[in-house]
Amino acid sequence: MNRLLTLVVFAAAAAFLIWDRSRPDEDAVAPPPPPAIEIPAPKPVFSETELAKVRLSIKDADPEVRWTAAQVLYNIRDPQALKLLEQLLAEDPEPELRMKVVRLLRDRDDSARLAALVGRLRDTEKSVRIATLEALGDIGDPSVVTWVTALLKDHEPEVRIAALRTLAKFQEKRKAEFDLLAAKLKKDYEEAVRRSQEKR
Amino acid sequence: MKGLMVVVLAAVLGFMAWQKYKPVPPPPPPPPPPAILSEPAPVIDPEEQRKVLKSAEDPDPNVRWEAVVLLDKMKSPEAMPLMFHMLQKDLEPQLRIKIIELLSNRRGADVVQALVRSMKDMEPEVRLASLRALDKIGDYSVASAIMAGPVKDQEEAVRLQALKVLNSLQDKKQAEIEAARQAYEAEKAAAAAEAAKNR
Repeated sequence: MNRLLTLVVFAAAAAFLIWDRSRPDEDAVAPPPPPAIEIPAPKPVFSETELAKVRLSIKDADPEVRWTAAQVLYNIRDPQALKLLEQLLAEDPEPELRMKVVRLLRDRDDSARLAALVGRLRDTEKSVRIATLEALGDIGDPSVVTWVTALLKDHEPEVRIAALRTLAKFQEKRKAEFDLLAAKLKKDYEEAVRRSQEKR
Repeated sequence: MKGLMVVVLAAVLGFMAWQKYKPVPPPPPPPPPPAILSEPAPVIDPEEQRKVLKSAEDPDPNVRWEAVVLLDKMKSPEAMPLMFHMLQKDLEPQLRIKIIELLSNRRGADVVQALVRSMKDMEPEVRLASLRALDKIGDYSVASAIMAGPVKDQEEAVRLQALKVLNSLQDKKQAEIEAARQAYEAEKAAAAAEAAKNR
């Protein structure tokens, strides 16, 4: 009887050891992937013919019509919008319209807009050059610094002031990003110290 | 045979107990704190900075001011010497006043010295701005310079401001002395209480 009991205990202990060694790690189980959500692309509001007409309106004699056409193309995300807006910026005789387009491009989340805007830093109208500098400052991408500093020699003092303010905006943006990163690193470090102290 | 079984069983149970209660190794020490510089690098390279420095000599005073502001924001080493130079040499009093207002938020012997020099400016408005800045900084060591200059100024407004600043500096100094005395008294009381407790 004693021998049988010992054998049972021994077998149970061996089985426990085998189970303990071979059980899967619960943490390693990856969660199932989320179900794929298919969002159907919205159907275009304009047919290809209508779109061609809107694109042609960019060259209308009336600046209001040209501006409205530019806004429509921008809002419907026409693939040719950037090219047409660049063309408008370069060729439109109305400085007010060029300024409006500069502001439109500022709000567009597209890296290609920078090239179009940098081109306007040489606009003949000082108001357009200033609007472009302000737009570049709001975007805050310091890769255009060389073109901005070139305007420190502009013959108009207002443009030189706008160029210096744009450079200051770049610096402010860098400082804000730097402060954010420094705060995050500090928080991570304090968290690591806290966790380490809790484990001890 | 029976003895062997008991030994094996004891070994198995001992192993299981060790597995369960084995000492947990101490957690590794936390990583060292990240190296954080106090200021980000300037957004423009030294060559471009030279162009900005040139703008500080622009014929338009507003351009010169924006150049100073930018250099200051970039923490350029040229910013402070440039401001001190402009305080002495720039022809535009309004620009000198703006620089004084900017310097009133800074501390340091060189800043105080530059402001003391500005108390001798030709324009009374600039002298007044210097006095206000020195009051804001609150460095009592400038009292003798104020007594030697602005207190005897030909402009009444400057003389009045000089006396106000001297009063204000005196109040600040008095407050400092009082705070130090209270700290000393508190320290003395704490030491006495500690000694009484140990008896």
